[in-house]
Amino acid sequence: MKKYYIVIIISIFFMSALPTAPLPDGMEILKQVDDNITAENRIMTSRMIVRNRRSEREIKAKTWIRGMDQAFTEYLSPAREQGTKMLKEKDRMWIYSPSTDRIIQIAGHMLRQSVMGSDLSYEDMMEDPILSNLYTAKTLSVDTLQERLCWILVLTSKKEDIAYHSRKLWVDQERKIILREERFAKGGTLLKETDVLHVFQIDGRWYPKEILYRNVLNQNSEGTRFIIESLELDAEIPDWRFSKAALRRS
Amino acid sequence: MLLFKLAYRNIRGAGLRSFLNILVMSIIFVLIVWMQGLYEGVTVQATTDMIREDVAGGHYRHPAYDPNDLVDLMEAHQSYQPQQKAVDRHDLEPVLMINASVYPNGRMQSALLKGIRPDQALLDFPAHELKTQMDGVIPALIGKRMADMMQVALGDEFIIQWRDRQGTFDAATARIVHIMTTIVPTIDAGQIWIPLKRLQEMTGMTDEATYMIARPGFQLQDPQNWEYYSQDELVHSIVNLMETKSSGGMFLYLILLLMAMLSIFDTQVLAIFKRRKEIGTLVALGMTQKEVSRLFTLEGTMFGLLGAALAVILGIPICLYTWRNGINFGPVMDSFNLAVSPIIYPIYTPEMIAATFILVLFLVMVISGIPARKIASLRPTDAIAGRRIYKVRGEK
Repeated sequence: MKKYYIVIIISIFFMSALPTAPLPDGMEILKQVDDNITAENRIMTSRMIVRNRRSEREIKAKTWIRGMDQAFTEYLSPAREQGTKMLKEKDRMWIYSPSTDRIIQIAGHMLRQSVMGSDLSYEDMMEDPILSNLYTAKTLSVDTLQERLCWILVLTSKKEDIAYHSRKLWVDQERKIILREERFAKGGTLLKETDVLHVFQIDGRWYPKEILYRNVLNQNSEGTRFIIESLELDAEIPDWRFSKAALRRS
Repeated sequence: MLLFKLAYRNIRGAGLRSFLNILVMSIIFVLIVWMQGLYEGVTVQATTDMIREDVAGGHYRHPAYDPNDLVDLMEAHQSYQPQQKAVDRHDLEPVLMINASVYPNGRMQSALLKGIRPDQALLDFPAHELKTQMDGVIPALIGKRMADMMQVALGDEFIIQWRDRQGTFDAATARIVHIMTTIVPTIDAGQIWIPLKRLQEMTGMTDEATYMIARPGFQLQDPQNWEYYSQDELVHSIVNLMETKSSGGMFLYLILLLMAMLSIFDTQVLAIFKRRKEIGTLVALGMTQKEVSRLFTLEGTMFGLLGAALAVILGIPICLYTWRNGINFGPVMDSFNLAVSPIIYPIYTPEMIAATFILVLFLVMVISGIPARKIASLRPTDAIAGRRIYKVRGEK
């Protein structure tokens, strides 16, 4: 018996002494993630399922996206939200409500309000999706998530005016897609969690199909599921689509 | 004097009818005075409490700060270092405000995070409770309204999430160290008070404030970029609101007055109809029609005068009691959206009482005179013969 113990201890000693493979550069991985997600034009139909302790709501929308700065969303259902449209132009956002027939610019503290009662704020939607523009990344370790090998990256904001001071990402090593994300406050408190539940492949790239967003501090919420029903990459989108006039256009 | 004696005798002669008229008049007098006293009481109470707990001698505000539109609140802060001496002397009390989200029992709510010095000396406000030292946890002071809204009690902890001056999120735990009972919603509803220094550190807004409360009588010689709002301007909204509410109450006065006038008018018409033979006899005995008309007007006015006298007898104990003990309106006062306690102490001023009496008596005199005008065109022979003064349509 004593021999076995000695063999085990010696094996552990030698294994720990073996040279480990160096972790790849975090910024490199982050750039690959950004490249994977970036497309010039996108047209997307999606469903957003907002769940809390008492109810569940499903909101359908169609979104036109051009580059990083322009986005136009039209809500298709439920009847109460049908016809509501949102336009994002760089760091500005307008919302049109057919019931009031008014266009309102979302600014100041309104940006912090939730979008259609979900765990996402207007501000989250306004954020620059190219993370390497905002953060420096460091590879922390390797992990397995959803039976996929992932790099864990720790992101720290480059500038001071970034909403989330740091983030932790689980990046699929092969597909270069984020499978999990945690967003932290300056003091280190975990604020939001994102889990990619399903992925799909389009034009050789991997995209998230179903994402679960959760505001960790809001225990009343059971999260918001964002499901991409259809996605068209590099589609033709006319210029008028990203004009304020398009908000009133039916 | 003769007319006065005659009028008084006639009123006494009418017995119960006169008494009822006088009683109605007195009740209306008392009701109008009491209601006006109530409105005056609410106004004075609301303004006094607001001055004591929030306004003091006025506010110096950052130009971008608008309490009715907090969209740009995160931009509304500036350094008070040029006014540091006045701040050190407690002539000015800096208050910093930011938007925040709070998570009591895991529920998300919006709140205004306000920083004030625990040793402030200008307001009747329990800021000293914020002196409590706690490791890492932020001491928080809230009003009872906010405690009800957040469903929290003394000692409860919750997470506050805010953004610093650059816009980066941060979060920390706060503990309720005191729940104040205040009737001033501007320091309670939706607000969480924490030590000023702590809020300045949390946001990176060192020595900055959104507004500064001034000591009564103190004025900055050079306010620089601070906009001054005097005490009167700050309580003006309450006075305006009360004037609006009071004019709503005018509708009730009008109905009451209308009822009283209708009763007097009706009595006069009936009296002239019933006493046409007496009118004829008085004219036949040498009185002019104008004198008889004046007699009837005087009789009507006397209802008002005697009503006023009875109102004094009835009203003094009622008004005195309510003035001393107040009237408890309970939760009804919340619908006023005003900084007022549920117990209202009415305030009766001599000017208000005199104006009410003069107005009502004038109206009574006018109303009594209208039916009596008919007497002037009356022929004595017709009156003695008992012919109608008020003709039926088509009658010749």
